[in-house]
Amino acid sequence: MTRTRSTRLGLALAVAALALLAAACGDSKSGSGSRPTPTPAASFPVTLDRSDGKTLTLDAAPQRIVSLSPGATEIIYALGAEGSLAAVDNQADYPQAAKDFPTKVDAYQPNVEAIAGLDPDLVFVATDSDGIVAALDRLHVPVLFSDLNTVTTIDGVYDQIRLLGRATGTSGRAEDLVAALQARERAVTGAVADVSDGPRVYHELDSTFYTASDASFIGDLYRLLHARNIAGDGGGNPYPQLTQEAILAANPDVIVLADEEFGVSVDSVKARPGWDEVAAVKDNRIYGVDPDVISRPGPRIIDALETLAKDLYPEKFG
Amino acid sequence: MLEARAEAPFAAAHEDAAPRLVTWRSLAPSYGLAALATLLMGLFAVSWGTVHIPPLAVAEILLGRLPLVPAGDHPATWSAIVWDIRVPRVVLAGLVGATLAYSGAAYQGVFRNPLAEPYLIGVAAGASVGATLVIISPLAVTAGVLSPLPPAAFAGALVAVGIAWMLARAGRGVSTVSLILSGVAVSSLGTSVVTYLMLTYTDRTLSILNWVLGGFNTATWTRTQILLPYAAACGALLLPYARTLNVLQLDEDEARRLGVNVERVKLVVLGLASLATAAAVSVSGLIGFVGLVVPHTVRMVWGPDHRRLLPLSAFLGASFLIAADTIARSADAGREVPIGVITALVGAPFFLFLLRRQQRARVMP
Amino acid sequence: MLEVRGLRGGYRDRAVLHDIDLRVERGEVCVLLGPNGCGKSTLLRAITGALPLAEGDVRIEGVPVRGMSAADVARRVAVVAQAAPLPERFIASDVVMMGRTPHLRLLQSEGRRDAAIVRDAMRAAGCWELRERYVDELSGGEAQRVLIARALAQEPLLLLLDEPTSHLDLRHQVATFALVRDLCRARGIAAVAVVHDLTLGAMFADRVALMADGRIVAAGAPHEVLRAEAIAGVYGVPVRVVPHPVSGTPVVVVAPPAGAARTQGVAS
Repeated sequence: MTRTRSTRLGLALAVAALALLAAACGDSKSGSGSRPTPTPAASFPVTLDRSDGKTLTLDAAPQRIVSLSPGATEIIYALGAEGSLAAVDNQADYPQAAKDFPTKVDAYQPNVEAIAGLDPDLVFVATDSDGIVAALDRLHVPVLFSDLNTVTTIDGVYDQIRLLGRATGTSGRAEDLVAALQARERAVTGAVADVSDGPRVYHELDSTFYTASDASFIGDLYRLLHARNIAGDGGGNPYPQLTQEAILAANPDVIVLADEEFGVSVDSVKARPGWDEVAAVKDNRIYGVDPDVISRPGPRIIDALETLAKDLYPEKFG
Repeated sequence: MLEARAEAPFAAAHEDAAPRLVTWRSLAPSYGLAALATLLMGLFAVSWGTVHIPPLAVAEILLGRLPLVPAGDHPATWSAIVWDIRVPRVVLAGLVGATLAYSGAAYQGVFRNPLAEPYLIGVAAGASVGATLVIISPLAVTAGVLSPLPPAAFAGALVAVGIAWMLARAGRGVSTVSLILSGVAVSSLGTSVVTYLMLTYTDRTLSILNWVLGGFNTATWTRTQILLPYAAACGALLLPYARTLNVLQLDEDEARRLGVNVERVKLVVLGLASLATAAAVSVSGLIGFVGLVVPHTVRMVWGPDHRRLLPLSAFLGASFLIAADTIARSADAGREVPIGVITALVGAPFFLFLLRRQQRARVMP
Repeated sequence: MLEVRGLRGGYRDRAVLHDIDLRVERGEVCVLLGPNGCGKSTLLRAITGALPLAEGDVRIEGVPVRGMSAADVARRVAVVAQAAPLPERFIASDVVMMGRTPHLRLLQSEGRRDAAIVRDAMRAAGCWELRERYVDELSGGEAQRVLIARALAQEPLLLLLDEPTSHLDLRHQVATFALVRDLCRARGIAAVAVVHDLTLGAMFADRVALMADGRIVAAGAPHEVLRAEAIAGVYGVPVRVVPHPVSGTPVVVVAPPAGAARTQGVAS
């Protein structure tokens, strides 16, 4: 079952202290204005490391940013730097302003000409599909390539936030945001510190039993929560496909559904033949989760952590 | 020795022996044996899996459903695993394997081409277009009764075959060469449509790919119920054409001169085989090699007579796919191996073997 | 009992056969002779009903072929085609058994009577000892006997042979002709054979029909039809016809061409 934002926010406020309030204020929910982001003079020029080993040097704060990653888009809004955006990717849907952003580009099948035609002074790329990074390099468009596959932990998300802070000249706000998120993270991990044998979890990605293993980003969340992922390390595969037999044999205590958009619901899971003996089904501990929130490396990942914490440990976080 | 040889031409009893007759009654024992072998394979498959359930417990669980048989004492999960997970998978895999195999035999009989298989004239491409359209639509895609996926795949398959048939018609009949060409054209078109949709609707790419690869990890009794009438009816209706398919191997003009209505036979046989294949892929995705490899194997061992070839292909196809599915769900410690990979691992070396055999036949006098 | 009257027919854009009249009695072997493209094979196709007729009539024992289903035709007419392809891995008796197809219904299996007919046909055609052999391993002559046996198994009234010997060596050519003639006489089957070799054809035929440009230019006994002028006119090659020293049938020998070219057309 999904919970409303306000419940989560209320909960977060109750657990954290002043730092959380500061972060909530810093979280920009309003639409983007067109005023440029103020930058402290000393933050530029800045040299940033790319995932392909090259570096990018920005002489001034970029004013026309093209974001090809929905996670980066969320971070940019969270940093209050949305005024510098020229275009976002067509998967961006949070916050609402990003979803309504007038100029969108395709991130999976990127069209080099379309992107270059926007005359950007920074293009943020998280997935190098179709050789877009090399193509943009050839056109001398400044590209910051930070490979999504390298973000496998929450700390990796913090690094992304810091990176984008440096790129947009909002390092101060970035540090504040990270601190606030870390506080919330610590609140959660502190509360489960005493747990030695956490619940067995089955995280379902789609109706053919694809799951996220310990090797995945989502798996890292479960690890922090001391939960036992029934997929284990997936044999090294972050997203293995399990057999029903294995799931039944593992007898998960909690089932988390990330595939409700495919028509899977709590009731349909309960109705699966042979699943009525599963602990999670018997105890009615099947929860849905927003797949975007849980798999996108952005500030909402802590929201996901808090949601999962409540699902897994209702007695602690209820 | 010499005397015996001199005697031979006068051994009247042996000389007068009429050519051995192939009748349904004479074939019954081989059908029975094949059915038994398939059943044993199924039982073996049901006792095998990630979770180690001792064969005795499996037997207890299976027999426990019969009245007057005492239910044994074993964990409830075991019963669920056997009856709700393994048995439906094994039954569906067997049914799909049988259907693809006998359809492949029928296709090979009509096209007289060693590469002929049930996806040749568009069933696979059409089904994947139908399935993809449902997957990308807002319609819910579940493994339940009301899932629109199987009907969409089924419809897509039939539409594609129909288009290929229409394109290949010229005058009174449909030449097999034209049909192969139009089938390739339709299949290519279907494949490119699916590829385009896969790349456009990127959040559904995995689902689409998953369907295309095929598998039995979401096997349910419902799917078996969907396939069973088609598989059984088409198979039963094809069997009377077995003798005619033998005659068709003589080349179409010769068959016509022996009184066979070649155009009607082609229409009926391909129609039945395509219908059955469409039903099979609509519940299991596109599993390759079964329809190609199994009939060839049966032909190599038991000869080209379709009265043996059709039923034995069905049984061997069932056993083959049951075995492949067992490997798919047990090989990687609780993780699924795509079944298409396993059938390909068998199929590719098989082709090499066929090739060597062909070459050796040419070299030796 | 094969009667062809006033037949005109051909392919969509052009008529190939004109004004064909032919009559073959039971037990008779009629040989069709003529140059390539004169319509011999087309005539055979017209007799089986495979060719649509613009005009004329084909009757077998008085029953018109037009309007018969393929199976009806196959119960009366058997065709031995030139070097017909034989399927792999079928044995000879299976292939001969296929000749019973027109007499069997869809679900019906072959029975003991069919087996007896097959055995009889294979014995008559001299290939009974080949019955367990794979047909794709047979020599040309052996395969030909199997095809003839299959034709016999159809229990036909009429046997049509389309250049049955062109691909065979001399011995097998003679053997095939003799076999066909003996079978027809013994079983009362009428036969029409398209043949290239004029001399051999004449030796074994009861009647000969000489064709040119889709017409029968001469028909009758071999020595009546095979005259030097007629042959030269049809084939455009000067020939001499001499009686065979043993059988007395016409032997056609090509005269060596002289220095000056001869005119084509019928020389009187």
